[in-house]
Amino acid sequence: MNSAEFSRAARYQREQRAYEHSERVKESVAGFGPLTGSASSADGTVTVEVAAGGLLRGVRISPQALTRGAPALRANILTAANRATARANHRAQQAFAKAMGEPGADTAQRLGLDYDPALLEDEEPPRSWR
Amino acid sequence: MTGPMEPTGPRPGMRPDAMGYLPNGRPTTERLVQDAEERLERAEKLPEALASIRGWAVNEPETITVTVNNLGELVDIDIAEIVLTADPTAIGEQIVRLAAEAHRAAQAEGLGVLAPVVGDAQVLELAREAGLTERVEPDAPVVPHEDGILTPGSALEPEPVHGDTSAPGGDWQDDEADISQFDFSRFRSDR
Repeated sequence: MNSAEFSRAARYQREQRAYEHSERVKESVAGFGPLTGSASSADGTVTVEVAAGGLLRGVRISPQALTRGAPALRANILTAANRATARANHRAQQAFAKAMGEPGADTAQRLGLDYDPALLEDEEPPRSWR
Repeated sequence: MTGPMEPTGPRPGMRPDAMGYLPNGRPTTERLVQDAEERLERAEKLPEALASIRGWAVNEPETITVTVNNLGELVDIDIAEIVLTADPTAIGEQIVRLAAEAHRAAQAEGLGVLAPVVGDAQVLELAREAGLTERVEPDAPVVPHEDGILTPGSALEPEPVHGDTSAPGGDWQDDEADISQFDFSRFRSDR
């Protein structure tokens, strides 16, 4: 085997290991269950569900929410979405920690699945899995 | 993929050595080092660049505008007062649909940020996985990524969709590259 062939083989092995590693992580994270979060506005007129990362999956608006003006509706949606995203990302960090061990939560954070712990203050401790 | 990058090959009428290329068209060692350093710099800034991406979508009467980031997180929403006369269930469904559209726009923008770092071939694969093939120009050249060589080929639609981005910019590691391409929205409880 010449050096070029050796280099190609080494690169293939690296890529194969990386692929297998990522597949294991994907399976483990998927096995954690749906990485979603939901939350309601303070007045309870808007409820939002999001995927990890924050993409909206559902927005439920009560008729009462429409009686308080567009700015109030906007604020309620943003507040609920923000809190729902925090819950979903918290769950994603738990899933990554379970799949990858200690560095998992940090990896999730680097992927953008971060949140403000203050949003979950009245819930379970955000990093209780550590 | 498009990008504000200089051409890689020597242009007709220019001295190859001035461009960092040998007469046979091969890049000089200095050129390879420079390209590698530029690519590394882009990679280091990648998370910041991706985080700054915004995509938006607006409904037909332009009464609801939804803005999201590269992960699809709701960043802002504009709602006209007239919307309040509509059915609340329909409003909620429309907001979800607009968020999905805005996310696709942000994803397409993200591909443009990734291309100079990971190469066109990888980005095209990501585009296919994300269902963004309509953004791909069928006749554009696909330039494969080669370590240490900048390859500014253009295979994706040149103009950004919606939203704004800043310069490319992350501390990616080999094993995390695939994870970084994970589409978290695929984790749905109804699947």
